[in-house]
Amino acid sequence: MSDRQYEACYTFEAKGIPQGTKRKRADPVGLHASWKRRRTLFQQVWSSQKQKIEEVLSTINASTLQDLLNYLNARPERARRNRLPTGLVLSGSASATYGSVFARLSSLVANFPDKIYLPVKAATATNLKGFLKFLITSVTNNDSSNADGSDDEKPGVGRKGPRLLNYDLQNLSEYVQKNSINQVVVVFQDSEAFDTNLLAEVIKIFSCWIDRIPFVCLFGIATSIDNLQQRLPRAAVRCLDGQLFNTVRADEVLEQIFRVAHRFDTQLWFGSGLWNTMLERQRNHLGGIDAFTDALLYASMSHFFANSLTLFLSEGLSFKDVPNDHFEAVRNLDSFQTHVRRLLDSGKAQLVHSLLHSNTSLFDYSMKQLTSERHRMRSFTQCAVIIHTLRSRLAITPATSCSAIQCGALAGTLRDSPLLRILMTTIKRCPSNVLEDLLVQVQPLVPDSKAVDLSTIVDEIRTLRKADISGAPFRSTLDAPSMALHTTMMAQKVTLSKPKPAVLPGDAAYSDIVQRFHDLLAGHFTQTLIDPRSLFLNEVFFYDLKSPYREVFMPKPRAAIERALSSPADYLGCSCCGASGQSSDGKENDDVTLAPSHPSTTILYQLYVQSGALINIADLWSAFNAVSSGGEDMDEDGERMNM
Amino acid sequence: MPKRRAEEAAIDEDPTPRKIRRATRDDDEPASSPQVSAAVTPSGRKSILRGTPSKLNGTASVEPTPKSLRKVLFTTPAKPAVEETPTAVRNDRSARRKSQRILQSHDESDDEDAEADEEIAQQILDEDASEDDDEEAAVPITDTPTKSGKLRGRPKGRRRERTPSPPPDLPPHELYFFQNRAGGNKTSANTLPSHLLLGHDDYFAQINAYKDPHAADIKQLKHLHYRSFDQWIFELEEGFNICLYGYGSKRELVMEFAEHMYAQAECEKPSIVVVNGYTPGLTIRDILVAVSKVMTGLKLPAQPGAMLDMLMSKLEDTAPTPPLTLIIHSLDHANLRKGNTQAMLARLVTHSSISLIATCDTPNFPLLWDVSITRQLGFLYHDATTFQPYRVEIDVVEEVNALLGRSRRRLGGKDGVAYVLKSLPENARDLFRILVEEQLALADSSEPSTTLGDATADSEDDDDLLGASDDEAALAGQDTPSRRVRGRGRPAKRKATPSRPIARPSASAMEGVEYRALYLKAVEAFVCTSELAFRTLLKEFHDHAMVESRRDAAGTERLGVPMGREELEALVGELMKK
Repeated sequence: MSDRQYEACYTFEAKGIPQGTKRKRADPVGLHASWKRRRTLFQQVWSSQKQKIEEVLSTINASTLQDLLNYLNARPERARRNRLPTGLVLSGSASATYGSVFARLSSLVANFPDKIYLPVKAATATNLKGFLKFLITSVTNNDSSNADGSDDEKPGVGRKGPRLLNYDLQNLSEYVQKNSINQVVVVFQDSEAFDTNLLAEVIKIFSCWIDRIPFVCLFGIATSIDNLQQRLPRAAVRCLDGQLFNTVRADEVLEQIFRVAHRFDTQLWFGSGLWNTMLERQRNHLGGIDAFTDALLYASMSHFFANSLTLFLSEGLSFKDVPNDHFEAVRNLDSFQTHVRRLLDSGKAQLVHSLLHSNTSLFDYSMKQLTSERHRMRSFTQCAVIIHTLRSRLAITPATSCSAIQCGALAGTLRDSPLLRILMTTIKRCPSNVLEDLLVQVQPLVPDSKAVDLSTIVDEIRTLRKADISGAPFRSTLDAPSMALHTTMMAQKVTLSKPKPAVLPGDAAYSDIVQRFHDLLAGHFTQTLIDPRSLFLNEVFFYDLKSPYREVFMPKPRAAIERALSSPADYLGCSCCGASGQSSDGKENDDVTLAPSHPSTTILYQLYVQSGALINIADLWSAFNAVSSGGEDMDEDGERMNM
Repeated sequence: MPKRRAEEAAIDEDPTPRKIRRATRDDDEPASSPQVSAAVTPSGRKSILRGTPSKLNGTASVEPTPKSLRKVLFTTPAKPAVEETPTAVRNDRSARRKSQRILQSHDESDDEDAEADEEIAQQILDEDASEDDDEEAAVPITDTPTKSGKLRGRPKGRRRERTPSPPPDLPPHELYFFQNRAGGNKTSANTLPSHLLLGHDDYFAQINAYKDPHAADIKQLKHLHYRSFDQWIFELEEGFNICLYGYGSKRELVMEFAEHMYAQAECEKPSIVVVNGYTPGLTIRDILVAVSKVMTGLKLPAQPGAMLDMLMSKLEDTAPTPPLTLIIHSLDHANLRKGNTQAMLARLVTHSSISLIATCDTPNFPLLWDVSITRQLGFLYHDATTFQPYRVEIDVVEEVNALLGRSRRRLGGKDGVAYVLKSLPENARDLFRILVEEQLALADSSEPSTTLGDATADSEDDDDLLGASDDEAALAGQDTPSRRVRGRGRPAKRKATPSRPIARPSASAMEGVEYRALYLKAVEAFVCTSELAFRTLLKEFHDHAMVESRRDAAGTERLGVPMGREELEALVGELMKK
């Protein structure tokens, strides 16, 4: 290995293998022993999650995609006006990243043999010549790799006539004719990044060739069409025949993915801290939606990798599969200890005893509890969904996203939030037609026991409505808005009266129903909106660690290097370079940040940091010498200047 | 005069003692001015040498300074051999004391400048207050190893604050401005002895003899990283790529990881391609070829782009069963820093059957990649600070010499040039001699003119400054600042000169010989007859990096031999001998 360190590239060969002293495959021990099982479990969990996410992603822009495809298909008939047909796709900031509309469009277009799809990025070409060359080579190269017969085409060009330059669009034209291509779709994914002049030139050239090559341009626009139009010269704009396509906004996509990732039947729930960090980063940085899915993937990866108790999540787990030390681990969990304390308080000492001493009973008990606790977690998740649905149905402003509500619920702030209070008062005064709609929406979201109550309420409203002749919706008298006082002047006396609105008999009955619905909901909310951390064994199915995510996706390399150099003890853990700065000889270094014991680069760095913009190397050297040698002479070489 | 302006600016900021001296003399000591002006005769070196003692006498006689207990403020460490002259030191002190005293009792000053005086006095007083800090601060910087005995004898409290470190608890932006404040650009004129060059032999001897006292800790740190190997394998298998950052060479760590991966693999051993990004002259093509070697039966086209296309399509057809692992040491090395290279690498590693482990050493490496490349790379970043020396990654000898402005990328300095010249025809040698002579002459001639300009511009300039500008001119004349030659004559004075800011003339680097002038000289000396021949000769020099050409501000091409003055002189001597 060391002898190849100056070789540029080579294929690695392990040192140990040729000799007989093979390094044994280290089998995982301790809590890590269950890793294999956990790994398969992780793969199950993630693959189902991933599948759901992909379903959402595939439906997200389906209509736009279909529109685009229709547009492309309709072109051959419409492209007759000597203007360049152009699709302007408002794709938002994520247009330049992976997995956008264009990527999926390209796979769709690939089904049509008579269309060529050419994604172009600003980085690929900086001038017209390069651009055309790229265009032509990528078309003809595709061909040579796909079809076999085209290999002899190149010399053929030479035979037929003068050899064309490789940026002559005549090449493309011939190719198009030969392969009977109906459409060449050129996609400018990041139209903002293109040089304006290049874009204008390209458009003009394309419109000149439009009678021979059936070009169609697609522009991915992250800002606005006005912006594009302003950038382009008028002559170029005149060549375009544009149509606008809107895509789903990145926020909306994010929200949908969130709803999938945080749905009621997942195996693993993330906490509010992690969610907030992930969502915030996603909103503040351009990264495309797959950055978010990567973050999700990594979060579950770290949960299953680092937490050996996730083993308990696997279905059909038998007692034999769990190594003994895992039970010890369970007994050390915080949630186990609080749970046991609660059991003791309720006088179940026998149970506690068996839990503490028998692995089998612990296993059975925790499996049973896990199921019920996860069930509670499910209704918890659904509860936030209910709140969100109700709010959006009632059109309560400000509109709050589902993710915000869920995060609030996870953080435990939702229960007493004004958000919930407003919702409840609004429900109290909603008329019957709205309420009916609400009931229909909510019914599938609540657990079965509550659903029965709801259906009776629905039935009651219906019967009430049938009895009513007027057909007008009932109004709730609870919490009526007409709280204004009427003043009547009578013989110089002011009488204040609270007018009772005329209560129809139907309304009274209806108000009763509303009240019941309200109470039912309120009861449900208080029951289900719990702190997930209070659940028994929440460590197994609940994950809320921000630091792995932050470290891995948002590194601070500069800070790391600076920290290493300014306080090496943080990394080296040595006593000599501690923060107290006590040197080995102990004298004259009371509160000095530099000590001879520091690694030499550290000393140099410190000196560098402390000096100004210009450094005299000779002074630096002598200062370094003075610090590092602690007075003893050193020879005058820059031997340690390895930075 | 930019120089003067710079100095005035410096006075406002935080001037060095020399400044104070001058400033005080400016306004309160008319008596001393004739003496000063006598010293400012812009003549040769002699007058400068004369100037120093005369000034010493003048000021010293005004007030004999009591023996100061305080530490000498600035001592020049560069010349450990010379002993220091106490008079000079004392003089420095007394002048300042006196002016200070006068300024404090400024009621004596009766003229209309009183206000200005007060201002300056306040300024100086402030400086005095901060001076103690300065003094202590400067000590470690100016410490000479030979004087360490004295250093140690100092009372303890003195060393408390060693450097002009910024006041604590500055917010980051304030810190930035503190570090980049104007007028802070003062360095002393000390130079390292120029004849010492770090050679490879010396370096290896030293580095092998060196025992790192932290070896055990570093090893422990490495073992900490070993623990995450399994995690890294998992991450790679899940389709992420890994990027390791942090201080220290991560080469060894990554190679250990490769071993581990190899050992952990169950049935089929994974193919691992290692790329040493720091290897000089590495290109993307090398990497692609290395990757393609793993996949047999692939005849690659010549262009890297086409190569990559072919590789990708090949990967699409037959994905290697244990995914191919690509290890790139120093992904952010200058070799691979080009945008196109990074984009191609990113495209390569997007393929699901290629995983990448890269190490990055620069602090700001994420700036290399735009959004889409970052997405393609799909990195998980891990802090892998190892504290191991960058032995392989950095060519220490070259770097050190380059940092010090020593003859880098030249064939061994003077000897190498002489060697090349031997193999060249007579007229080439002559041309080179002419060039060197001209360059030396130019350096010499620029000296008096610089001094003159300074003296006229700045009539209060004392001899000290005169001497300095003399020095600067010498510096200006050559690439390597070697003060040896010039400074030898007056060691005592140099000793006394405190470290002070040098606002260097803009042409301080290397003043080459004008192309046209050199050509005419060459024609005069019958070295060549046509410009074509002249160019041919020059090309030879260029090829051996013996000559550098650059354009000055006016746009004329200037040629110069990038060497220190001594070297040039020795070279001329050698050339003349023949």
